[in-house]
Amino acid sequence: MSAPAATPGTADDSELLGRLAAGEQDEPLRTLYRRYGGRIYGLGLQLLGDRGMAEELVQETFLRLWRSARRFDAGRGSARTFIFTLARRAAIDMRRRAAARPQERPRDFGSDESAELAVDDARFDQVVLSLDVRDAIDLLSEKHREVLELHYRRDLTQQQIAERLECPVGTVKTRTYYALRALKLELEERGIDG
Amino acid sequence: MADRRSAHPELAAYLLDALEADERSEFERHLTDCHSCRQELRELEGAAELLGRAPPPYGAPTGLEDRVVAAVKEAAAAEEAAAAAGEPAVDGRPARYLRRERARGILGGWAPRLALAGAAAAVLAAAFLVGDLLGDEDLPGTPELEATLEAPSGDAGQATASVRETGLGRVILFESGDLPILPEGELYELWFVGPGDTVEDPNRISAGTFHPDERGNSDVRLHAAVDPAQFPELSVTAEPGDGNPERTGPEVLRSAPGE
Repeated sequence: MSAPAATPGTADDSELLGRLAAGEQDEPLRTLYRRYGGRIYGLGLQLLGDRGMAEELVQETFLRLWRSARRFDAGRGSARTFIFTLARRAAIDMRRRAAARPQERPRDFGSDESAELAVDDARFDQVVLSLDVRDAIDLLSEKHREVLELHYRRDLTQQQIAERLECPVGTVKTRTYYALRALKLELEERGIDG
Repeated sequence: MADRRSAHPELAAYLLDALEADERSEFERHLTDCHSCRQELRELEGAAELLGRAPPPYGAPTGLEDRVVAAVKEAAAAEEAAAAAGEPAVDGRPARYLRRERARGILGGWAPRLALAGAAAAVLAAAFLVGDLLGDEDLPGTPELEATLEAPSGDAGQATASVRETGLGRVILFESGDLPILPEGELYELWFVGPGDTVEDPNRISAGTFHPDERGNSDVRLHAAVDPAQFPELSVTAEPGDGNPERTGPEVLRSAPGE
């Protein structure tokens, strides 16, 4: 899958991984960070549960990416899959490490064996999907995003939403409709069949 | 899209379950005899369902991008140094490093000195190797800022911090002692604080987070792109692990002004 049009920079991910493998650091790292760093941080929050570990996951994933960039083969899968696979392995290792030394972590990570289970393929894919949806929502126009968030986060009726946005209910209805259409397009651009 | 269909505006509200009971029954009656609405409902129901799965908005911490780049550069420089010293490299890493990893069962457990987690362990590979090649006192560059941090209320806890520009990015050597053990889920965060910083109107940049050991001690190396000339004071807060990158927790340590 090529990088979605809305992501920063123009070079595609495979090219950036190639430059990283060739010894360049700044630009390819920064561009890849802007494309994936936020979602990897989100993965850390969801899978590891605290900001410190989420930040650690981002750092660890990018260190691994730098080390393994030369092993990336575009013929065998997308760069995106490659990066998320590294993130998944890093998350499993971090959980395992935390489970082995419970006194050093503020939360319980269960047994060593459960690390793999807690970050199994299906759960991981679900979390990545939810973060992709978050990413799509964040790229909507302010008005579209706002009206969808109000519907979802606060359990308000359309009348209450209209009062909050200080506009007629009819406007809320049509805006919600176009916001949902726009979200569907954003999701399709990410290869998600909403 | 607007011209292609005669959008029935209730449609989205119906999918998002935001209609009042009477509007809802009315729309359901309408659906039974409106083919185009039924079709559109099918088109949009997936997006409506996915919307419900998205986590609340969150943001990665400011400065994390710079810390990621700094950590990779430090690891790369350490590798070059090892190569120059004639260490054979395996898979892009000096063999000596790999042996250390295996011996410690790395990415599975480290020596107590590094068992601090948080952002410190975030640079684990780099810190490991560079810590090996370059002791703290051997780090390149001269300190830009040396500070002692104390608990403002006279509570337990103190720390020292040394900030230096190494040529590969700014490194903060931070050691703390006697910090209270935080409740589960909370973490300590180190900040560079600029003039005029208040809780309501912050002027501070995070240098990263850390978890002290069970005795409240930590000895971590953090990376930051912040210029201490502009953010000359240091502060440590206890933050809830809620994903909010802003400072929300109480201050537990602070450097003396003008230090």
